[in-house]
Amino acid sequence: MSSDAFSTNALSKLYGKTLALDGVTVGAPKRAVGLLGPNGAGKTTLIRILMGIIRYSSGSATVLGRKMPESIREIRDHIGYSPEFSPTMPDVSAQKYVTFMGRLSGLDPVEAAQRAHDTLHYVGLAEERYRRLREFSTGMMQKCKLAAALIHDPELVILDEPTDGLDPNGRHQMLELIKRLYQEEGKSILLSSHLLFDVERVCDWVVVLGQGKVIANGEVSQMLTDTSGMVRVKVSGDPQKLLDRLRSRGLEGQLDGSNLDVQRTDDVEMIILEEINKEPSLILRYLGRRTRSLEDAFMALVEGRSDME
Amino acid sequence: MSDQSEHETYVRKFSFRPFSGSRRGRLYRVFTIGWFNLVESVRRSGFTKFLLFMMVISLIIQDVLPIVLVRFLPLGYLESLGITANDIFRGAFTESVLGMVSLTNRIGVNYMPGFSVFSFTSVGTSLMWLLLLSIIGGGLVADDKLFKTTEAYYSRVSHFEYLTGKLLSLVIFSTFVITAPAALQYLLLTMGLNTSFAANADLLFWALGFTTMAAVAVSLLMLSISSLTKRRGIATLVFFIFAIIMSSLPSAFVSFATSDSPLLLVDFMGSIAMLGTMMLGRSNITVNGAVVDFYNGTGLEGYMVVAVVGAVFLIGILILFVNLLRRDT
Repeated sequence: MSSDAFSTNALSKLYGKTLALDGVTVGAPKRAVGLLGPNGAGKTTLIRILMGIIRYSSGSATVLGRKMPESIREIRDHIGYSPEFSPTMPDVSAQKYVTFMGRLSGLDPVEAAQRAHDTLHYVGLAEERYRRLREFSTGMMQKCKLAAALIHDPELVILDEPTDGLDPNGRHQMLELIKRLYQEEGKSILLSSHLLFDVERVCDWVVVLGQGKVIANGEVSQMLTDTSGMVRVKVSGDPQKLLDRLRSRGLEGQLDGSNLDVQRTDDVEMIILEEINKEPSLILRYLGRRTRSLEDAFMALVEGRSDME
Repeated sequence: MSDQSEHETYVRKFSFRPFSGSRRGRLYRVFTIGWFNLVESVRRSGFTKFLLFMMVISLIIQDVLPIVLVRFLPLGYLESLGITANDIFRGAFTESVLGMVSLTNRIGVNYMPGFSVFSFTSVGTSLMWLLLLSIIGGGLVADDKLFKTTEAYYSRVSHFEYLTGKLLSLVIFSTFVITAPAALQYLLLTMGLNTSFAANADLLFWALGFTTMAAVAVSLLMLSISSLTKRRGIATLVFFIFAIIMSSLPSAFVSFATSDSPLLLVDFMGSIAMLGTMMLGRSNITVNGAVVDFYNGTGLEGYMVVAVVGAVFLIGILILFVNLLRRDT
């Protein structure tokens, strides 16, 4: 069994004359994978291709170790998909909708109904499961879509903008649910979003797309590793005083808000500690590697790139 | 929203249940689409339920009327003319089944010249069938496009399975409305006229085949119109009005309606009924009382009927393919 959630080789997709995917060669492991990129980057196109909803123009792709397009039926049975738009059957209850989706994935009627109850409980729609979908709020609909994606116990769950339109509380709940699916239930996740925070919070692998091309692909922790060669210092007191002292010792540094970033040298930590000890108004709070957020990493990746505008 | 603590308890108790059973085959999924959509289309509207009730009344009348009518027939006199109970059975049953499909133009098989009284018994059925088919079928694809449900379907089944399932829901409905009553009527007439069940089995098979063919053709056209729009109301009205106008057009020109003019072919429902008579091996039929010969080289010909029904199938399939099977845009 393949360890990859999906992999593509020179995958291209043309909509008429518009190139949506331009020779994408990318692979992602069976982990929580974030698919990042601005609007129009090709995220949804890539997902739709992986689900067999649209055909690709050239190249090849495998999903969960199964080749496309010949194994697409089997692939669909092992993937749960929550689309970007909310597909609704307004006059149908959530219970009926999720059961129907389960039956479409090949579950027998009784099993589908039982699993619909369970998954709706799991996503937090236990009390609302007999309400018609037309009465659902955006947050409830997002959860209902997630329940529909989970009903047939898929190996890989593809979520296209799952926090779209949610308030902060709803977003928190949704991200916790997704995290739990990955960490406790062992599901592989492919989370497409343009919200860096969502991806950073849930995913440990990220694929960045820009204008149909792969900009970056790798572990989130690696992307967050700082490569600037700076040491971060956080003190209570005035960091400017410390910066002045360090400059007098021949070190280069700069203030970043209340933080102080100092150019790394062989004995930089010792010099910093000495200078803090000499100045009674300063107390050391943090001394270590400068970390960056996914947003910093993303900005560094896209800086000056016309394909990420 | 659910109480979070209660929800947590449930999840801790039951957790996420892995699925270890076997999955059903593709046909099951197609049938699921068909049945679910049919039930939900009927369930959602009170008007549809009312029409269905009227439909049942119409079917009862259609099935019982011939039985009642034959009670009043001067059977002894007819037998002296050489017309047997079996002849009456064949005439009554054929005309009733044809009447379920033809709308305003009455198609008869001319079994007993000058003796054609049964086709009117199914007038109500054909109209109700068409109306209900329009109401149920109008939203089948249009609603999915409006509410963006197609993507949810396509992530689980292929485009072809989706279309087949949708078509199946209309065909299942039509089976309840015209095919099953045709079989029931065969049984009732057999008992009413005391004829042998096996003697007219050819007609039973013809009725089942013909009504199924008609159901598929009309459903295909309905579904294709539904796939052209996002508004179920538009699809319903366009199909129903189109069918009624096409059926009434020949009658609007009285001189054509009583002749064997090819203008009769614009009534595509009537054309399907005419193809039904051809399936019976009839070379001449009656349309609104006037005799039409399929093979006399003038006016309406058999090949034209085949071409029109073929065109109905082709147009339906073509529109569906163009709208739904193209998936790259």
